[in-house]
Amino acid sequence: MKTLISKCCSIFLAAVLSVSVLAGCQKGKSGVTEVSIGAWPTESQKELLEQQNQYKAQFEEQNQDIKIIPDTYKFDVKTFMVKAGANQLPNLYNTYFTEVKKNIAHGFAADITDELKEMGWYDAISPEIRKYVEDENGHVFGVPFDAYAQGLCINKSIFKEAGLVNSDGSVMIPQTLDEVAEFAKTIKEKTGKAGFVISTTNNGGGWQFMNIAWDFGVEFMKEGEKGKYIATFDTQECADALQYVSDLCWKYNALPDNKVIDVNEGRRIFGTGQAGMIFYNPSGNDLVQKYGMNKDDLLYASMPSGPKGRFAQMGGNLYMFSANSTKEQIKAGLKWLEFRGSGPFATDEILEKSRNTCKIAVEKGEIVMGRDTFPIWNDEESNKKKNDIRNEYCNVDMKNYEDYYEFKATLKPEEPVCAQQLYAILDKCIQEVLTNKNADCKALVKQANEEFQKNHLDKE
Amino acid sequence: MNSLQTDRKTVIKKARIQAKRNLSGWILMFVPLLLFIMIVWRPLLMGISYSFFKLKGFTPTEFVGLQNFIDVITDTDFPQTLMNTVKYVVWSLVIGMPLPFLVAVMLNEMIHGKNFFRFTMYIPVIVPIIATSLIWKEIYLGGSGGLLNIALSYFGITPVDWLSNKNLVIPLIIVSMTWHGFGGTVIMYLATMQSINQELYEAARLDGAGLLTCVRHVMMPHMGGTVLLLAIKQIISVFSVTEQPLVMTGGGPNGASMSLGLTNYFYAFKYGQFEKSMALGVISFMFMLILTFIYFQVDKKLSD
Repeated sequence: MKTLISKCCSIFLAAVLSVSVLAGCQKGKSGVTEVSIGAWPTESQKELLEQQNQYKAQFEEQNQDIKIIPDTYKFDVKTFMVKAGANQLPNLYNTYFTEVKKNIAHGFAADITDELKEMGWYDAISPEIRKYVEDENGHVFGVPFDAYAQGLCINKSIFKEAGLVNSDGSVMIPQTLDEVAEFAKTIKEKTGKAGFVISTTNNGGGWQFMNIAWDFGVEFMKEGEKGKYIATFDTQECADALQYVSDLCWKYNALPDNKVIDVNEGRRIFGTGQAGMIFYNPSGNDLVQKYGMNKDDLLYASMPSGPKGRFAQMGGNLYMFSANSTKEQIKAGLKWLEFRGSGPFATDEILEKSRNTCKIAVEKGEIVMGRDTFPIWNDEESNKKKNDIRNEYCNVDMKNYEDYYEFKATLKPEEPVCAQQLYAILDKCIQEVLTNKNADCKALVKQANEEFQKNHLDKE
Repeated sequence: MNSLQTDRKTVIKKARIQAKRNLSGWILMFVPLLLFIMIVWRPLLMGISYSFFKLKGFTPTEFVGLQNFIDVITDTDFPQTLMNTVKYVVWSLVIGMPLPFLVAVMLNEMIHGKNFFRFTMYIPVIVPIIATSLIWKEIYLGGSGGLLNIALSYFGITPVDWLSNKNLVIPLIIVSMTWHGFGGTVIMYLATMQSINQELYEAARLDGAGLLTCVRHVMMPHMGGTVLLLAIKQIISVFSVTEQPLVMTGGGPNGASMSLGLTNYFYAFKYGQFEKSMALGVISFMFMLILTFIYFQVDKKLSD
């Protein structure tokens, strides 16, 4: 009898578990398009979550054939591949410009060209920005929502402490790489703090080094026969650029004591007032929110010029749709983006939402700039209306961003192939010159060029 | 003929009884077994098979034979990475083996406070690896703000950028790993030490043996097997070191702390080169398989 009871219990438990597992596979009601939206606020972001849930309710009321499924997944390079590989991405997810080519190549993103054309968005995207979200055949795979060029970020308090001020009391802004080095040296001598921070690990070093190298006239690769790329940076120019980084450390003694730092660590050093300059793009809100930096201490300048030019690498954020999204889901996702104000047009309803978003940001002490970082959409009238609202809630002195927005540097996109692998190789070169005073820059560049060609470009 | 039929009936009856007995076991095992197959065996076998293909995302598109393995092995960084991994293993044996043994001997000899120290020494084991690595990163931080440098400054030693030193970086990471894991090893040593018949110590002491003589002639002969077993276990575990260099150095400076595990992680999560990641995973798996085989052989010999 006892055995029979235990058998029945076992069968019941197994059945319950199986049913529970299968329950997760249930599909939504017919006729209603369910679309999962990533980067949904979490429970800890109480105000944002409340606001987002309100928007969700409003949106679903207006679009009764669409059901929004909130998904808190936010792009993270450490988790993305696993989520994508397991088909667990939300239909609409956020990512960076640097990831677009990889996602397209792996089939992790849906082609949304037709849907964008139907919505009238295709031609509304600024052509300068559209090239970052399309493949070589002109098919668009993403909706950009933020674009920027790298700039030189300055801590005004440290500059003033080091005496780097003009006669009118404003801080001196370095316009060349040599001036950056000289100013950094002065900061170190006068304040004991690092004058400049450059990342060295997790590809951050290579990514930041690109700006310096381009200024020295370096061309990293060129397209050869049959579309194959050839590494072309085994040059005196690249050795000189690397020597410049070495000099920042050994000649000018201007870098932080810790040499093994990634981009986030670099920002932490700068944000906590331990360094005078860093390569970064506006608005720098995380420096204020995460590290308690005074937002009035932030000043953004154009990237400095070098012996052969003045360049700034472009970057940005975008939305993509998971590859398994249906046409209906893509349209529903785009409608949601439009509703949230991430589309090209500015209706009164959208402007009201932008106003609310700005209001909450100001209440939370976040930076609200008087303009967008870089115009994404062609519609100048809509852009103006959106910028007017930003201006209304602007809580920083826009004079601190003037030099940056003069766009003195030529904007350059990321290198066409194997950019992340190139950054990793350059990371190693930078680490070598910063930890070895007698490092041979010419030999390092030669080795890096060979490695890049053999390990990556030849296998593309 | 009758006897044959009776035998057959008996066998069938026994088999039925056996099957009935096993039924509940199989029902209870069904879900865990299913999970085990899905979570462990399926990805393992898929990983091995995918390493012979060109992939788009995680979908095989073209059979390429051993090409992925050739790509991994001919990568100019591979020899250094393999050598680094061996260095991790060697340093883990040099630093990670004697220290827990010494601590276990000390704990074994203690009369008061033994439980307190046993408990406190085990605490680091329950701290997550990432947290441990972050703590030690702060300890090794370069400049005057690093905890180790602050301590050394009291002795007039100028600040050192510890993790930027190519020769020191692996031993320093191993120190952090030893701190994290040595509590568990101490407990295992201690358990073996305490299973040694106390009469042997008493006899040795009556013969005039001191602590060192007792350790050498009484303890060590009993400990040999456990030491060997733990050494193999440690080699297997350190061979796949990933999180510590990822958090503390990102594999730097100039690849000096890059391990096979970290390379594998970068292939998969940084560059999306899943084929290479799986091929390197298979290579590491083969190394581990050999070591695990040795481990089981030693374990079996000791159990016998």
